[in-house]
Amino acid sequence: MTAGDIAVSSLSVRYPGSDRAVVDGLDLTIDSGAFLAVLGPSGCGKSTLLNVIAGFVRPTTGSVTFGGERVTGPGRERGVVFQRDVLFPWASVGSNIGFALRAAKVPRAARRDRIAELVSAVGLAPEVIDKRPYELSGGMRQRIGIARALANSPRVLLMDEPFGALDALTRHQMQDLVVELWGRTGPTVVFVTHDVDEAIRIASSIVVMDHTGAIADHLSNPLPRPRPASRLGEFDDYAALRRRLHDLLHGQQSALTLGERG
Amino acid sequence: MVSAPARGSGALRSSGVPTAAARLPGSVVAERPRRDRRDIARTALLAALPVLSLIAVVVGWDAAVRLEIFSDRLLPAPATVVHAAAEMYSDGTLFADAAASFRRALQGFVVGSVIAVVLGALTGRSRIARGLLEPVIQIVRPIPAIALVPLAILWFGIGEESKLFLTSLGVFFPVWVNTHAGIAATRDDYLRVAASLGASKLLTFATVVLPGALPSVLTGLRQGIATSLILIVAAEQSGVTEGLGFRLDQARLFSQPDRLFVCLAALGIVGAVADQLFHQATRRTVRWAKEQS
Repeated sequence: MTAGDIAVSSLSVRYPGSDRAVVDGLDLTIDSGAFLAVLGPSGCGKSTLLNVIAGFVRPTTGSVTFGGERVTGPGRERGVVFQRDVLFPWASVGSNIGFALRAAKVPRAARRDRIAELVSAVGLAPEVIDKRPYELSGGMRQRIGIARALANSPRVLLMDEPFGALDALTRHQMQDLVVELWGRTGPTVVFVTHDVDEAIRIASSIVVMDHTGAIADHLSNPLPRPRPASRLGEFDDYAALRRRLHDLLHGQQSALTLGERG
Repeated sequence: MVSAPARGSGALRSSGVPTAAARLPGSVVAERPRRDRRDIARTALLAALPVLSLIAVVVGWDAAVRLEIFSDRLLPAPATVVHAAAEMYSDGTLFADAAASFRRALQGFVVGSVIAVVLGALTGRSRIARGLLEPVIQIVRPIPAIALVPLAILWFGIGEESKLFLTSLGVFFPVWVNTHAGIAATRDDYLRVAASLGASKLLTFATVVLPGALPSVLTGLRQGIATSLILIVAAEQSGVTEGLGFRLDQARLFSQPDRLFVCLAALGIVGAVADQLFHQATRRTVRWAKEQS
């Protein structure tokens, strides 16, 4: 096990007042530098798994370790990008991105340079630094959310369906951006999605969760990079991988629906 | 409004260039100037409405006095009130009374608001503080502050202290309720962001919780301004020789309805000015809340 490995052991999470475990007996190891997509039907516990790794939710039983140390709460080495943009609306874009740096007591001048560097890294013009989040489009806000999560140079980037609310074109641009940032800065990425094509396009390995909140399968992605959205179907292994993932997902979806009815 | 003629066909006509659109009577471009004139008329009417409303009230009031619907001992004519105001202004009582009331209201507002914001922040964030303080506050809250005038006099005498106690207490409740509600409603995902970015509890409170609650806190403070002025009038009915509340009571005692109306108008003006000054000074800080909703 290397320093950046995430190890999830016999993880179960049951929320107070619920008679069903959201995640149940889940085991997973994520290698340092991996780009892992977590796929699964709605309600299977994908986001809960991410929240436990982030330290937001405590396991009912089992454990999560990061670099050999047990995760007991949030930490700056694990950056999080949320499902909807959670920028502070009262603060400028610069203050949002610089929040982590302020928390780390980085001097003002160094903070300013780092903010400019991060804004450029996520493909935005320097003019946005003084703007307020409400003045920007959804895609721009999500770019700033990513820049903010990267400010601490985290070793892990946890992303919870971050592009679900964006239009197709912007979503593809954001997927390219995340892959580029992953290739350039090299954090381990755990990316929760319900979109099979998104998982195939960006991840190096894909985990499918079943309706009981355990791992149904863990597949490596054989498609070479780059993987342009418009030419995904031209890759040799694309159809087989897509079919396999759909079969797994549809099996889980049927089981979940039957479970709910029962 | 200024740019409207340049955009419409009016500009085209003045340049002497006839266009197909301008020649067509039913075309969108040909209709534009009429719509612009209607817009200007509507805007001018909306701007004039407050003035018209005030004029209507004064004219109606004057007519009611002239037609002897009300006795001038109960309702003096507007001109009589203006004359009394001029008299009170020239002998210095109007300004001195307004300043004394404003100073007392401001003192009560500051003391009550500071305590309320601190306690609201505590009860909004801490379960222990909420458990300890909320029952006491909730029991005292329904008691009208005016009902506490006798208690205030018993505890603090008829001097300035009892006035400060009453106004502070009256201001405390709306500010506390709104601060508490705003702070307790801090979004969980904001707190999660702050935690994942390594922020300390103090930094999270100062840069996430407080700014997020600010629109609610400011609403409470604005209610507090109004409450402080209401209470200062009640508090000034005894134990002082200066203040609009005192002057109102004197006008009642000596049957001077013209002076009574001057004091009421002064109270209205002081309240409206204080409210607008506060609103204008703070509205930029919470513009984000309006833009988001």
